[in-house]
Amino acid sequence: MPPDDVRWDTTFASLVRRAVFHTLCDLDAQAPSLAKEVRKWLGSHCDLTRPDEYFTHPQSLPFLALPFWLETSFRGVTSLDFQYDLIYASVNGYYFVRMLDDVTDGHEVSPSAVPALGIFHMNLEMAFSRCFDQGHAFWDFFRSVWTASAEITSIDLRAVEISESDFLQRSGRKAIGATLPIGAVCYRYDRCDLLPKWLSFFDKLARWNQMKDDFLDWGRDSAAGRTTWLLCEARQRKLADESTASWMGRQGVYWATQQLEAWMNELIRDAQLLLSPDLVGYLRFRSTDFAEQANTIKQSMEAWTVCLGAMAREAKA
Amino acid sequence: MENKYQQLYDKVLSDSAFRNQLASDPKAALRSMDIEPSAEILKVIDSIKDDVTKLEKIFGEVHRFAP
Repeated sequence: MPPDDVRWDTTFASLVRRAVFHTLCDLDAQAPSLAKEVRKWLGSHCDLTRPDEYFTHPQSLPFLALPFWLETSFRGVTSLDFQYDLIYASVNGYYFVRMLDDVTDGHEVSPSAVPALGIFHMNLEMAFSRCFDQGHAFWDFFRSVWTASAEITSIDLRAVEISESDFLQRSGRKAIGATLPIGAVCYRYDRCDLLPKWLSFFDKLARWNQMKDDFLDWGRDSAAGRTTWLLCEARQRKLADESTASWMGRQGVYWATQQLEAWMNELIRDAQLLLSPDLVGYLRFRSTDFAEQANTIKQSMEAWTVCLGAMAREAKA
Repeated sequence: MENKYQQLYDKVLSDSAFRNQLASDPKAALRSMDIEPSAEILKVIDSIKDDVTKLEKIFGEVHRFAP
């Protein structure tokens, strides 16, 4: 069970549940053999009895909620059929990107699950087709976003070193596919004036989320030889005879948490200009939640350092 | 700090499986690092068991949400 500190709108949460189960149940009915393989793959990421909670977990990137909050911010209400299509499109888009990432990152994905990529992409396009006629300006946005997503994925796969400027430019763009439903809301209601601010906000939010994941996963990333900005910084900043873990304990944890806290403050300031109280409330929760995690890490590490000193003295005595 | 204690420090920070072992079977965990787990050392480890578990909860948890 995820913590219940994020109070999702109940209508939104039920749309997410419906979209996720609709996707999986359709697959069960129409391609049962493939569905079995997909569920095996999905089971390594989430609890299959509540696959919707994978998206509504308080620590997940809230890309399904952003279009909901955006529409609410200027209309006061949401069109539920429209939001359902957006959520359904995003869930399928996410499965597409996740599976592709897992394949390219060398995570275990059965080859017999991979044909599902075509179905996820088809579902994504069909959902947007229900919202926009052929020839609508939205499709130019769709084309540019989806192309950018493929381009950034390719660049990222070749990266052996990530500098600060690489990270600032690329980390948000890695999740650019999630801006499709944000664009869809703006195009549907002829509010493209709002798009630049929301896209810029999303870029920063995705960057924060990526850095937070890199921070919490640094041990696994380091062991697996994966390249992240944090690990590149560790290599550059640590002393010649110092291990990455020692640098993390001595400086890295403090450096990364300061960076994340500064970015979160900037996100909250930006969100206030987007006139979405739901979004600001969500960010305040994430900010408090992360501050608690950071404090726990720092306190535990300090206790551990004291303990090791005592052990070393005891061994010497 | 002696080298093996430095290695122990690094391992606790970076290795999820080791953190779990240290919390559940500290004797075996310490022996795998070539540290003889005297009663005093085990007492010290026991005093920070909660901290190791907290680190594991944050650093070791496999994502069950959309990253």
